[in-house]
Amino acid sequence: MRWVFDLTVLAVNAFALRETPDMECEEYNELLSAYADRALGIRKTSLVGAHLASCERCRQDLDEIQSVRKMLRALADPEPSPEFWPDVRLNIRAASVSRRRSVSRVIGSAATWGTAAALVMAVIVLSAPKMPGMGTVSPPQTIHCYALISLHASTRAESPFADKGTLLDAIFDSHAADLADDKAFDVD
Amino acid sequence: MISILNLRRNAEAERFEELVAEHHAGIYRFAYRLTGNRDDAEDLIQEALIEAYEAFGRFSRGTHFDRWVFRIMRNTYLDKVRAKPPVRVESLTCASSISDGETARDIIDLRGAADRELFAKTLDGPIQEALQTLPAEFRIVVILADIHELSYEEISQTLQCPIGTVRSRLHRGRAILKDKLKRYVRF
Repeated sequence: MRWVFDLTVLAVNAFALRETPDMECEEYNELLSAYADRALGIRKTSLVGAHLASCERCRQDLDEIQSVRKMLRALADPEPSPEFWPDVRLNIRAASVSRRRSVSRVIGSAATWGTAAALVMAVIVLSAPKMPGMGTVSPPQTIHCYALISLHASTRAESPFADKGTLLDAIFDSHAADLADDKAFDVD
Repeated sequence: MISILNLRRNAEAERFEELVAEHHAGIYRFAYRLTGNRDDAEDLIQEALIEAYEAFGRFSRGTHFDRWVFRIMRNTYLDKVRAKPPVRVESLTCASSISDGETARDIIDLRGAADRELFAKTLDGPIQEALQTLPAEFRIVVILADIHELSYEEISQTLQCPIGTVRSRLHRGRAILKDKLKRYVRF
């Protein structure tokens, strides 16, 4: 495959030389690093190659760039202090634990606030005077809905509110209360 | 729910630690060459790896973990540099390691590359000092190209910048380095 590349470079080189663009030595020089890395396209590679054949200064610059590359690649790997990587590991674990705690705190506080909000809503709804003609949504159903949401959140979050019961208990309680309330509201 | 989250976090932390262990040499090499000394390199790694762990959920599996960490280290480092401009310190060790009238040019010939160990020991300090004189963005590209041997495209992806920028930074960085290191090597 190498000969295919060389042949292509030769062909493009001939084409490039036929139509040599008006490039100054400085512009070729800017491309030397990429030329050394074989990171130029075929056309530019050919142009730079042709320029190098006639420019002593750019040839020397290219040699120097290649030497700098060799020097950097020959550098030995630095050694960390012996306790460094174990310390890093400990820090990652500490970060992991603190992240877990903060997630628990967020969930716990969400459950707490959810329950508090449900209680507030319950108080508001119960203390509100009964308005005539509001028969479409009965207040107890609203209360049970909030209670259910807050219980759900608190049980799943294993918060201090979790001992109020499981979601299943809440559903049963809610149904039982609904039945009782239906009877209570059947005044008419 | 918490215990499921805990299990997931544990698995995530373990996976993260495995990846760090797998790439530790490259991560350290990058940090050391970027900062120029062990203390700063270790601080940078500690800080960047905690950031990386916090953002690990956004890391795409199957991509290059080391390059992802390089990007985080680069951002962390640049933030630090911008916050606190470096104080220029002239080294005394560099001059004293060369005897009167003789330069390293007389003892190191890279064309032969006969004794790489000698080369590494003799020139590590001057090369690192020369690296430190580069603007940080040039230094990062030079380190990735010439020490980590990444291609232009890989550097462009790692740093999320155009290939043209990589090419010009690398060229300028190397041009500065060759001037700084001219006295040490017979080209």
